[in-house]
Amino acid sequence: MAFYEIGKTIRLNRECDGHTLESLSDGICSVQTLYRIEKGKSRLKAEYYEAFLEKLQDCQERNRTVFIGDSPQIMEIKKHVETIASYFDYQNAEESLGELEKYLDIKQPVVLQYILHKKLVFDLYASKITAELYIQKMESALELTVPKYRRYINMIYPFRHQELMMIMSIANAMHGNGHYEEAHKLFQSLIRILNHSYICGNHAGDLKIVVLRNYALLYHTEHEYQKERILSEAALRLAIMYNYGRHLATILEEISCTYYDDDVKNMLPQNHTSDKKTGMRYLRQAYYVALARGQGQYADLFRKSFQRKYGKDACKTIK
Amino acid sequence: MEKSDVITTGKVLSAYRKSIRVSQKMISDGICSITTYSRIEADVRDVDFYMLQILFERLGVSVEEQEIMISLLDERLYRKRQNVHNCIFTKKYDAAKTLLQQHQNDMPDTLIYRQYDMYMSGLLLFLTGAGKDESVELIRKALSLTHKMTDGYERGTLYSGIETDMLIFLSQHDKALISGAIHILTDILQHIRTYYKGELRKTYGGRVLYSMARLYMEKGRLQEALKYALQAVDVVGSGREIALLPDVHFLIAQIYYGELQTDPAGNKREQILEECRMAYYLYKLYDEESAEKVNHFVKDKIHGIL
Repeated sequence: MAFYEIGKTIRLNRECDGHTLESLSDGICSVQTLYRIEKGKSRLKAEYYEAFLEKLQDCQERNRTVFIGDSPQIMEIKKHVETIASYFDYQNAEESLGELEKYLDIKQPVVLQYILHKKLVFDLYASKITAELYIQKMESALELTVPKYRRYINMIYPFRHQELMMIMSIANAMHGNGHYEEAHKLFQSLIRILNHSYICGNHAGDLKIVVLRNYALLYHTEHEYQKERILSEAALRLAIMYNYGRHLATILEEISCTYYDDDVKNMLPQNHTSDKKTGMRYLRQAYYVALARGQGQYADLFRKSFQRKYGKDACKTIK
Repeated sequence: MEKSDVITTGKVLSAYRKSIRVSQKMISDGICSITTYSRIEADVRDVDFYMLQILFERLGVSVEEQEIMISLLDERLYRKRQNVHNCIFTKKYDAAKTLLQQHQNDMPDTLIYRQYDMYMSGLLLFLTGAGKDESVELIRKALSLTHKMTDGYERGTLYSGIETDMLIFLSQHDKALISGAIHILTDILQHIRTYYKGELRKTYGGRVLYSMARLYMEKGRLQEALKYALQAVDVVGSGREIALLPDVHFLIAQIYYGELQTDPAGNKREQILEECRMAYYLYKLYDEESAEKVNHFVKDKIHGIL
């Protein structure tokens, strides 16, 4: 789901755990060799990698393999679980997750973490669990691979894609539960980490877009519509840069909301008609992008929202 | 299926290969020897990231679905390739050329890297209008590095994403293949439906369906054109990418316009407008020039306003 550059990952791990080049290389290889590995100038031998992990106590479970793929069957069931969940059918998604458990070795922390993460999300959406308990359990699941993860929040720790997803889930729950300051810290940390070059790949890019959108929602709750807009527009730029169409319509709708809410809730003076027109244009664009992508439900919602907010039909030409 | 223990590159490749019941020869054909591939599956031979991408794609899976630790060189080359694609998508061809040159300076001198470089150079020549014949020649040579091109094109073999793209391009622009373009594209579509999964299936399936719709449109066979264009909308719209979707909607608008010419009583005007609006608002995100083209079409052909 993401690619990690080996040298940077080792260096970030080492620095976060307070090792010097000397202390980590001691008994394994020369300082110069470790330096060259971190700079990407030397290939990393498998035995060195294992030995480094032994020393970097906290992360030895998470990085046991260089390749962390899935077999075709597991991949298929995982996709199935994600698809059902995306239609909000959490009961069926949970059943599919149960099916998946039969094929996975839950003794592996990374695997157990995946299962726990999904179960907790389904439980929260099905209102089987309170937000407080959700945060507590999500943090425990995260600490299966990164013990005391909070001490790394102000650093650039090379979290894996799954761990970053969990931090985002915690930040969203903090937001939902009114812990805004904590949520701000987590979102800022996520953005800093995802901007670092140790992680790349389409899914890392997609995650960055989702984090920006979720962070924007926090500003929305705080009625900070201009800050919300800056983040939503950054998400839009990234979506275009990564050729990522999935959230495009909803990002456009979110941007339009920032103009509308700024206008209505903050009661801007009457001469802010250009902002109103910009909001209308974004919402109309959101409607047609949703329609173009076959997202009929979203298109319907946006059309109704357009009618409600502006008293016009989104399909009619804006003069 | 057994419970997973330590997952390695070789084990995953082997599992995918067995799941689609193809031989090691089919996967490695034209890319590396069977012995080399067999050593990769046995995890006794390292494989660079781009090679892994090509092997996964021949198995019908996107390497993006995997989680892998990669070397600094692989990471830099990967980012450069992504940036080249982004520049082409947003029509910044000069920037794409510069990035491709940087990629060429850093890339290892292997067959598949040479193929990538030749294909992208050919494509940029074509897109900038600098030399159509030269670009076709370059892309034909690039494809022949991993596929025999003696009989026009090679049937019954596996294609990676880049190989599929080259075949789609050549079927429409190579004089030796144009007459059989529909058959070639039908074969590729069948290949995609048989082997490709997930996003790979949507991305490349969409490209083939769109190309087929365009070909039928050029031949004036509007019903077939519409059939494939509507399939393309479904496939591309459900996928990850933005690119191609406005092209497909604009093509549908033009097909409807063609139908309007033969049947003026048909109520197509509103449909044309809606398809144009979808294309226009998508283009507006990254391609002003094409958005303007749609605007002009609406004004000139159906005397409407977006």
